[in-house]
Amino acid sequence: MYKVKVGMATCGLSAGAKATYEKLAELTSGDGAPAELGITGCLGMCYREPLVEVHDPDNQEHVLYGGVTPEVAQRIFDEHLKKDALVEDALILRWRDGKAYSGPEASFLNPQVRIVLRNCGVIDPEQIEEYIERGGYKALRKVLKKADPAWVIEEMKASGLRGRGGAGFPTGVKWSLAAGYKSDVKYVVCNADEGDPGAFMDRSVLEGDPHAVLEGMLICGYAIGAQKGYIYCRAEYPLAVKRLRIAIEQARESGYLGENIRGSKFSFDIRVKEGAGAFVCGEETALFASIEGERGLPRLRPPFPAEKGLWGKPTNNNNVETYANVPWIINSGAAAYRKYGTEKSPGTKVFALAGKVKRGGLAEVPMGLPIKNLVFDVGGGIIGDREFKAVQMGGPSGGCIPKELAHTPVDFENIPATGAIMGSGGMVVMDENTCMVDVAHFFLDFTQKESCGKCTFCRIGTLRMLEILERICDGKGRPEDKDKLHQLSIQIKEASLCGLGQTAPNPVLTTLRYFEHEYDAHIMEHYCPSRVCAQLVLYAINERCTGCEACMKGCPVGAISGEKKQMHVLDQGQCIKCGYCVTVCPVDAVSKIAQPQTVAVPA
Amino acid sequence: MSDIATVELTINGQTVQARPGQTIYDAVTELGLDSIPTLCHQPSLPAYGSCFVCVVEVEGRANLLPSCATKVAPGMVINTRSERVLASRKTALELLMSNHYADCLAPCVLGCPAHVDVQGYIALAARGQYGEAADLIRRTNPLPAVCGRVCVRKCEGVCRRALIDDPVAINDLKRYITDSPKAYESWPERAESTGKRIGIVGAGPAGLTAAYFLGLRGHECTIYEMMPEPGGMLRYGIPSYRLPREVLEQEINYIKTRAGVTILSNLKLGRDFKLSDLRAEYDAVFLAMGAMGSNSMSVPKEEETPGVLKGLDFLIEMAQDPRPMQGTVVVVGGGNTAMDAARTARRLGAEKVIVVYRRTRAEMPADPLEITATRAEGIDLIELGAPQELITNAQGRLIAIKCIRMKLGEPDSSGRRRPIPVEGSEFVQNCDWCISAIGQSPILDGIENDKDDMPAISRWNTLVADGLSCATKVPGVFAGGDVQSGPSVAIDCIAAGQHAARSISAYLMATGNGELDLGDLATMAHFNQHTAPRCNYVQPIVMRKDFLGEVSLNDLGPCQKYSRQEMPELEVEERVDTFDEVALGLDWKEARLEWSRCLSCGCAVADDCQLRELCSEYGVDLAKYAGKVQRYQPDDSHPYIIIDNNKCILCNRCIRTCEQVLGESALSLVKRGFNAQVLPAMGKPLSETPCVACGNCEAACPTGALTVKFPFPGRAVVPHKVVESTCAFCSLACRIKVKTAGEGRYWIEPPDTPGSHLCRFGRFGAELYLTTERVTTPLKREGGHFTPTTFENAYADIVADMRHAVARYGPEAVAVFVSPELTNEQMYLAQRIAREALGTNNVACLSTLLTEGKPGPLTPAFGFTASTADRSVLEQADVIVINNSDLKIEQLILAMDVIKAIKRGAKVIAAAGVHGDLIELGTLNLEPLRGSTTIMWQGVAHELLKLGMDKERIKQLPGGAEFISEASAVDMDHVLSETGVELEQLRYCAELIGAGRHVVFIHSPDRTEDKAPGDTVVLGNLMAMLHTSGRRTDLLLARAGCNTAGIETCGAAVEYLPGRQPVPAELAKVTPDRDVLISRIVNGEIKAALVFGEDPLRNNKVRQYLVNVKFLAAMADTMSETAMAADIVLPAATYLEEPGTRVNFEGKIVEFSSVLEPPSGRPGWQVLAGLAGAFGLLGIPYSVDQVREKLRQAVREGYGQYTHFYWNTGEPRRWQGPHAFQRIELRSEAHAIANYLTLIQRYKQDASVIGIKHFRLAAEDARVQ
Repeated sequence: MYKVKVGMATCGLSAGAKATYEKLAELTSGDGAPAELGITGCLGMCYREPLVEVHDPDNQEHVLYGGVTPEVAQRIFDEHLKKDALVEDALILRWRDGKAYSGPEASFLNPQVRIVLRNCGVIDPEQIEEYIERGGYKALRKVLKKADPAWVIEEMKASGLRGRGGAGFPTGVKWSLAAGYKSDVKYVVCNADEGDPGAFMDRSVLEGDPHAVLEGMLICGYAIGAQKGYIYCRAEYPLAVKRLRIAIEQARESGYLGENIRGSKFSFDIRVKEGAGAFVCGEETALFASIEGERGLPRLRPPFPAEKGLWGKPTNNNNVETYANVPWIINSGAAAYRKYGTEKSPGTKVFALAGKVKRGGLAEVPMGLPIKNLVFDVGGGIIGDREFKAVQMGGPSGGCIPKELAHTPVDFENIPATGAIMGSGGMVVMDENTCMVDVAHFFLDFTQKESCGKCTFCRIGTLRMLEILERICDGKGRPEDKDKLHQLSIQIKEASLCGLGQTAPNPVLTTLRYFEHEYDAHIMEHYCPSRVCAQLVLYAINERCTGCEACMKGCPVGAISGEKKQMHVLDQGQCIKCGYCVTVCPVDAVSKIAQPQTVAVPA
Repeated sequence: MSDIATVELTINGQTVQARPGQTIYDAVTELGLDSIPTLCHQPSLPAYGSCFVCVVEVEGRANLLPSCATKVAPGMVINTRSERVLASRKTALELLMSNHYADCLAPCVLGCPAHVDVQGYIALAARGQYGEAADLIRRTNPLPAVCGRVCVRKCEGVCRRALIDDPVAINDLKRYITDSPKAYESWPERAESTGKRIGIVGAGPAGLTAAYFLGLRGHECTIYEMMPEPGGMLRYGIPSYRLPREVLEQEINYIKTRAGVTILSNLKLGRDFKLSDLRAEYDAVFLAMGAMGSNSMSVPKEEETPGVLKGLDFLIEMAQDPRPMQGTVVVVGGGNTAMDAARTARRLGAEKVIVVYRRTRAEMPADPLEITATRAEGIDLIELGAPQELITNAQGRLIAIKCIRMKLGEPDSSGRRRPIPVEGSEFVQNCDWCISAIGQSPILDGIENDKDDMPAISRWNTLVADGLSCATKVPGVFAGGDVQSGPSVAIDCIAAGQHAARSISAYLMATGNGELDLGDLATMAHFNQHTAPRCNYVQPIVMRKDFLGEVSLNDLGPCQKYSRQEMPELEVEERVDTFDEVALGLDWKEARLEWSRCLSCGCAVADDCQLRELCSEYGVDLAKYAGKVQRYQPDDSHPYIIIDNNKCILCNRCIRTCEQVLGESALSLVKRGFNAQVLPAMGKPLSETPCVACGNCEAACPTGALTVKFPFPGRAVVPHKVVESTCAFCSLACRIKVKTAGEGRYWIEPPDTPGSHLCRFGRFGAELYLTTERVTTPLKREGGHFTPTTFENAYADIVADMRHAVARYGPEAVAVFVSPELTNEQMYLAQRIAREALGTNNVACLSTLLTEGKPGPLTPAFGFTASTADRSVLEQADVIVINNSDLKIEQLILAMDVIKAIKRGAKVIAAAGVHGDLIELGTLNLEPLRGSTTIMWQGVAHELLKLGMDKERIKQLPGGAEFISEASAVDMDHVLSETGVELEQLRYCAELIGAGRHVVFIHSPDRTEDKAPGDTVVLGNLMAMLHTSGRRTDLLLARAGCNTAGIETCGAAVEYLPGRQPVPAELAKVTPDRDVLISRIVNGEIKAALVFGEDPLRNNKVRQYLVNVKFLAAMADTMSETAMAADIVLPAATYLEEPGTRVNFEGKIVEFSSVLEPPSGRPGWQVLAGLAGAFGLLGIPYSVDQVREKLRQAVREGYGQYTHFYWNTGEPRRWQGPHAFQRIELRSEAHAIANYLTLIQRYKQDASVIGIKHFRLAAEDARVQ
């Protein structure tokens, strides 16, 4: 009998997986149905959702279908499940023994090494049995049996695992610090407040494999001598919160959480705390304040969390992906882990590919893979095969790496050297139609709004930078603006309390560094080379116009005139550059024009 | 000390030792290496790290580090002043200022060329302080009365009130102030003579102003005036109906006498002396000759035609020798001189006066008010007309003038539209006189333009000098006023004189190394002698709202329209034929309405703003980061505190202070990022939060975001004195800083010592005396009312009546009652009057006599009855018991200590009387029924014994065995029913106390609310038990009055002479103990009484006791109920007016300064000494120090080993443990008499019962009257 699984993570659900699932449920409900239906998390191919996997336990073959609407589901049922015939046009991948051997998306999976994502898209996250079946909680049992917390820490140190939240601090060292402070109460905190725009690795792990995170926290708790764990998860991840709660409940029932776990003297429990949507609460001291019920303001460090963290007690805080690595490392050993990645950055890293890349989704690759491999091999290249321009890494705290540096290996040494950061793994791919000033503006707008308001530089300085960027994008830039931006960027970085302020100027600094000519074009020539900044672009109707009147009827200011079936005319004086005409034109007859102008720059 | 480890590090290149754990900020400050600026850091609070102004550079660290939060580490290399650090600080300040929508100074102050502190003098005037107001004006303008009449009111032109209705009539208020006789009483301080001499040419406003300020700085000034009298244009250009001569005389006289200025008349530059003569004679020369030459009309034959006059010459002549005029007068011109000439001509009898002006009325440069007055006086105006030709008769005398019509063309360089002649529009106007008044220019005779050592002359015929410093290119020669600027107005010339004085003084006092003696008006940073002498000022930064955005009505908050009061004037028919002053001046009612219209735009802490200070120091560019600005409406709903978020820099000091004071927050931070703001908790008005109105948040604010409301009208920074003294609102005796600006304008702030806090009463309580009518002189009851009398007569009456009472009823029927708030010195004198003058032993404080039981309830057990330790023991206590004390209301500062202890982990038991969140923060709240605490504690003792106390050792002490048997035998059911407390709670209480290692009891023995008979004794037994069982335990007796603890020490008690020495036998025979006195009082046997400071009649019960009193004399600060019933009332001084000492609850002697002058002129101790003298007592001390010395002797002799528990002058004290247990009577009884028998206690009670809002409203009503 086939086993059929529908990808029911947020990406699947938003692509319509619910209807697909219901269709399949209806079809497989009766007696004698040819298949057993289940759900699973995200496999990473968010660009092909909804995904349905058909697994034949007899020959161990997995067949993955993409874009499965209820109609396609009907066909899969009729042909594959009933007649053993593949639905070729929906088939995207076939694999056996974890190795894809055919299908158009094989090149997406094959460069990957799935440690963190080992169970994502494979097991049903709401069934602890499936986790255990795939080796879950084995690492915890091993640790409890060994009864040697020091060994755990040594193993973690030996693995070289570095914090996947972005800073890359060696996890084993962090644990040993927390273990070193004597206290009757200690805490393990999991930072699941994934707030970077374009990043969704942690969400997928929580939705697809919550027990891996719990097990990682349990092992940490054992190693440092903590009794209580908190998962600080953003409330915008309701499905993740739900699955975490289910997982915690099942783990308790199965004796993996609670008093005297599996007969040991080790007691540990975990609570989920939902954040209220403040980006700064991803900063660990603000996160602690938030868990404590205080306003989420960063606190001074030192003291560091290992000494005085949550409620003033020694605390270890790692992010979701870090904890998800732990059971694998304990099971397979540090040496096995070190086989992947580089000397200083061992292991793998999950990336969330977004932006102008063909395959937007999640991919876990060994550290040290060059950027271009990620973009072109895994990501499948740029949409529309346009020119690749840059990647933005590390979210709003990160920076833009230009195509000239596309050979840079992604790891904790090489990425920071470019001015960007590893960050938690968001990677936004940009093409030639991306304006880098606009990109800097976008990210700064985000951080500026998310500043908690405590420190002078972050609270007011980022707004002043944003105002400068706004005026540059509006063609009102002043010659001194670049210097002013640069000076403010440096000073904000140097004199802010927490990571938010210390990194907020990064997108501006890296774009200034690699794309200074775009700033110059905006400021000195009133020209947006990428034709993005509305105030620096003219809209014009070209000869492709068929006179369909669509643009004319919808123009909010009546700037377009013309007779039916005659070429229309756009009055530049009236145009407010809203872009409506571009979107409605059926024949692509509205073009955006931008040319360098020699203008008197206001003093 | 070598045994303490230190951290060696390098700061600014210096190797230094710091203490481990110290922050960089503390180390640098302590070692005096630099003064690191900070805005968010407050030493008494944990580091916060938000302003990032205190950053420093640490080698090896990529980021700059906040020094307030970074701890020193061995080998650290720190730079506190690198360029990077300074640039970062400057940017931080610039960013803060870019969102600081605030006015440091009011627009009127900035709008005035001389920057007269308008807001300040209006505020002073509103309090009736006209003398101070005039002096404040004279700090920048020595001609206040002149300006009050002739000023062109640039201040009013920018007045914000115009957004609501009309500008405040600022100038009319100024005149109102100077019309007061007080305005000329002062003698400002004049610096010691510098020996420098300055020659000034011209006694006009510029010359006089410069001379005044230079004179006050100790320089000797001589003014050379060409006219017979000083005043310049003020005397000769402005007719007396606008500026009466006697007003001018008064001003000049003030300048001459106060600044020692010599004025030599009839001496003209170029005629009688030359500039080079002056340069040879004086150290510096100031040229201020004005612009006394009249411009010509450029009409043929205008110089030689009879009947054609020049405006200024005409005014000068008429000022000296007014002669009648007849016929028609045409005045040409549109300035003030033209108006003055026209109005003068009218007054001299001209039948018809016509002003001809080439533009329209709207373009006229004259003061609009004067144009209106001119028109009102029937003077015609021909607009758009210009003279072309003079028409003469056969004799060549003027008979008419030919004019041409003009039209207005394009604006010219002055911004006004240029008049263009309309061809063919000529017309003829008959006239007998033509007065040309089309402008003046300086007369520069005596200055040889071609010489190098002479000031340059411009093409406008003015002297070339720097506009700000008045320096010419010739060292030591300065020029200012009209001679430099061309014709202007008085206030511009006054400003010029002010600037000149500043720079001349700086020039004269420059030392050899280029350092300058900085004047008091502004800082002069640099005086470059190499190029043309020129001064640059570093002015304090002034942020102004209109710099960041357009000020709108919205910014002002809700305001009521209230039109401006018009200046009353002489009726036209009355004024046109005299030179009497036209403007009559506002009356008090009108003036009051005007000053209440002032919006107090300038910041109330402009001189005390840390942000402004740093911005000035770092020379910030206010425009550098201009952008979006947050604009808020100030919230003034709280009775004492105004929140203006526009000025907030989010340092959180207020919130953190509140948290520290209250244990929770009345204020909180809401929203995020750029929108973050400080708001009262839960968005409620501050008065509805847990706010206890202590004002400590305001004291913590580094800017003006939080300010206090003053109990007097007007919010302004005015010159004031700062004096430290002590608060008398409770027995804690906190240090206070009193700021006084004369005549009832004073307010109180916590001292600058870090961690100094005050409670509501300490901070705002003194308002009581501003809003309550004071007794200012002795009063004698005659018939049904009081008449003022002299001290001598009042004394004589008291002496006669009291002696009569003693003779008639015997000494046992007379009594002297003292307030627990008197100073030791007053109490000492009062008991001497009782014992030595009246021969009675009936002396007591009624407040404690009728509420406390036996004196010294703990003395048999401890050897003394006083606090066993300082309040600092709360820092060590692990269990704190609060009995019969409402600390949050009555002793907030002690409550803060308790909250700190709770945060440290101490357990707090709220036993009785505790209210508010101390209950929630504490571990246990018992709440026994009123009057049952003694029984409750005996129940606790019962439970404690069960938990295992050291019974053997207890038994060894006297009374120990009885104590154990009685406590063990307590019927717990009885305890529970009497107290209403659950058994579990009593047991838990016993467990908590039993587990304590150091138990501190806070107990208020004279608070009647939750008092029980014998409660102090039962606590003493409990302490003895704990002490004997190996715990440390201490007692803090929180007394009700500020000197309750001093009553017995000073001998103001039946049982004791000063120093608790025994009472002589014959006196003891009169009244052996307090029970006898109490029974006499209660039985109405007192027939005559002297009541010093208390208000016993306020209490109905006590009033009944005293119905048989035939003669009553009271010393009172306000008309208390006792004073109202008295035959003689003596004025008392408040704690801010009375010098002396009091004993605080810890037994410490605390010093009070007399910060203010008592309204009667006599502090209380003098009143009592005078009375003692009138009784014929010998050896009456003649100074407060002498009284104290006598007391000190008595105390030393009387107390022996326990002295420092009662009269502590800083000695350490240690309670050695109990000597005995005492029997207690297990009785519960709620007290009948409230002990609040003084004005202060009544205020405290009223304020806590009614609530701050209501109480404050009463004060505001008083303000409006």
